[in-house]
Amino acid sequence: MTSTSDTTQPNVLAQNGKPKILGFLCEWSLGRTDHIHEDGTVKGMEHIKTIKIPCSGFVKTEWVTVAFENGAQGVFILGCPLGDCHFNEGNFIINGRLEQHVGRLVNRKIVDDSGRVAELYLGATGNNDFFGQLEDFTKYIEALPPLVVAAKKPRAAAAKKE
Amino acid sequence: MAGYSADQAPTSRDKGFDAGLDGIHKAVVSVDKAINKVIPEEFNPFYYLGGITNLLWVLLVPSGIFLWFYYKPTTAEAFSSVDYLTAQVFFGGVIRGIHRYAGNGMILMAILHMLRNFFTDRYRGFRDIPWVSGVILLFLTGFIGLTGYLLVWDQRALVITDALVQILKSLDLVIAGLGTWFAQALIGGDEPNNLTLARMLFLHVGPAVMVFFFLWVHYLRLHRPKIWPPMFVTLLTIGAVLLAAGLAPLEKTLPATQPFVEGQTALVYDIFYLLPVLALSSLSAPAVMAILLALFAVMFILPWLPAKKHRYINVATVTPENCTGCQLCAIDCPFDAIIMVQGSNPNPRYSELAVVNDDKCAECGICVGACPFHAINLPLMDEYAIRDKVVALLK
Ligand code: HEM
Ligand code: SF4
Ligand code: SF4
Repeated sequence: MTSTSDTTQPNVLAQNGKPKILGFLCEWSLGRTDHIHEDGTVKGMEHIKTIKIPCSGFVKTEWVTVAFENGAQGVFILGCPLGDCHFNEGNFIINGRLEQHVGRLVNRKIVDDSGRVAELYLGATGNNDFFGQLEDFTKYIEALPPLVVAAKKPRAAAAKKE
Repeated sequence: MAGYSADQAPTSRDKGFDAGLDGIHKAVVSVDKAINKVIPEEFNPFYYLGGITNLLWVLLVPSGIFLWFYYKPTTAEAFSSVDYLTAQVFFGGVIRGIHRYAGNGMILMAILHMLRNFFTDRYRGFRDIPWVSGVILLFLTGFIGLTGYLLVWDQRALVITDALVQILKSLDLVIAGLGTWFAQALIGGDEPNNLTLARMLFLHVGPAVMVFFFLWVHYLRLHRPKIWPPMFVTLLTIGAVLLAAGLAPLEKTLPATQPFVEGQTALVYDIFYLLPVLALSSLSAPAVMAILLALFAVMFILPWLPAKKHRYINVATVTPENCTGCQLCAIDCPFDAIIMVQGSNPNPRYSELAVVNDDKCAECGICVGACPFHAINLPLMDEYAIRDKVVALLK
């Protein structure tokens, strides 16, 4: 079952008082480094939770919507520099899909600012860029008003039952 | 269905050998990113080394055909025909220069392309076929280059013939007569004779035809191989070759038919093609042969040394009841791993069903993001499990 909360408003701030941010990390980029705790939290940035995935192109745009519906204030996707995807096209593909999807989220007034979805194309190096860019992203999100997405009607496709 | 768990997730590189490569991988990416600061990343030539090699190959073919119109493959006339072409034919010297410099560039770019693929871990697992066909292409390129230098039939060609014969004959140490047989097959007898150059012309053009075949094999596993670099890189490459051909005319050599002149052996050497010949000055022929054999043997089996540990464990899996046959996954798959099979969709309303070819699948999940109908999944990273994880992480 999806646990999209229908009754309680999601809490938009993390324990450290900063906006909740969710990230999808391509394992070919920084997914292999030790900047992430076991539970997916970025070291030193408790408000940023991450999920490791094989390629940025794996991200289903639906997950981005689900994240916003559940209180995320920002979502980012980390991939390799455009042109250097380990799977050749993954980052171009997610780049194109997000362009469409974020436009739709804004049109449907699910998010107020297209800047809430960030794409970082850092690749296997640039560890300092990683923290720097996340800091910038956090600042950008903090400047925006809190985002609370109205509870949605149940999603069309229910979870598979075994 | 297995839930998502980070430790089940295939991690590409683990320990030992892999950890060492990881450092080089990072260095390569740093260089790329430094270049990206200067030129936009869409134009970074390092992302198109294979395409540049391909482009140089495309320059080599027509310029070679042009040279072939004038070339006479006999020991008596070869040198003078090349000389005539260079000096008398309109732009002949420039076209010969294009052929030479594009050839130099091709082997250089092929080696860089190979190193880059190795250091960024693009050489094993689902990439074994591109890699092995690449090694064959490299061998063919090197061989074509060597026979090309022989065709000119100048004094350098004599040195090369001699070196090749020596290197081949060292095979006699393994099986008596084998090396001699190869050497005789190469030059058409014990000594260079009237057959030698006809044979050499064949050994120059024949492998060139094989290159086309192996290029086809090379690109087989990619849905949209970047065969052509972007316009900027294309113009840069062609410009560099033309500039070199126009500004640096090829060196003058002396015909092989006149008495050997001291110093001709020290003529400008192309270190990539002629490395085996050059190596003979410090190594014995059997040593050169052994090094060459060992090098190519290692390159051939590299994809399995060590093999990718995680393969065939997370291959994309279609849920036929959900599939509508919309083809979106097949279009996005970069490795051409999804075939749309007519008439096998369990739903009578649809005809086509997506079917994944396990051997081609890279387990990247790009198809999962493409499917609007929840019909294709990575078994170890179920999309619903990830969705639940998103919710859980934001609690
Ligand atoms: C000699 C002429 C060669 C040419 C013209 C050539 C050209 C190319 C091209 C155009 C691609 C597609 C690149 C892309 O779509 O990203 C490619 C991929 C590849 N090449 Fe080559 N190549 C050559 C030699 C080699 C050699 C010597 C090796 C290694 C031994 C090699 C290994 C590979 C591998 C592993 C791939 C797959 C990379 C991927 O999937 O991204 N190639 N090559
Ligand atoms: S995971 Fe999907 S997109 Fe990736 S190679 Fe396999 S079938 Fe193609
Ligand atoms: S995208 Fe989904 S529904 Fe469309 S063909 Fe592929 S698996 Fe079937």
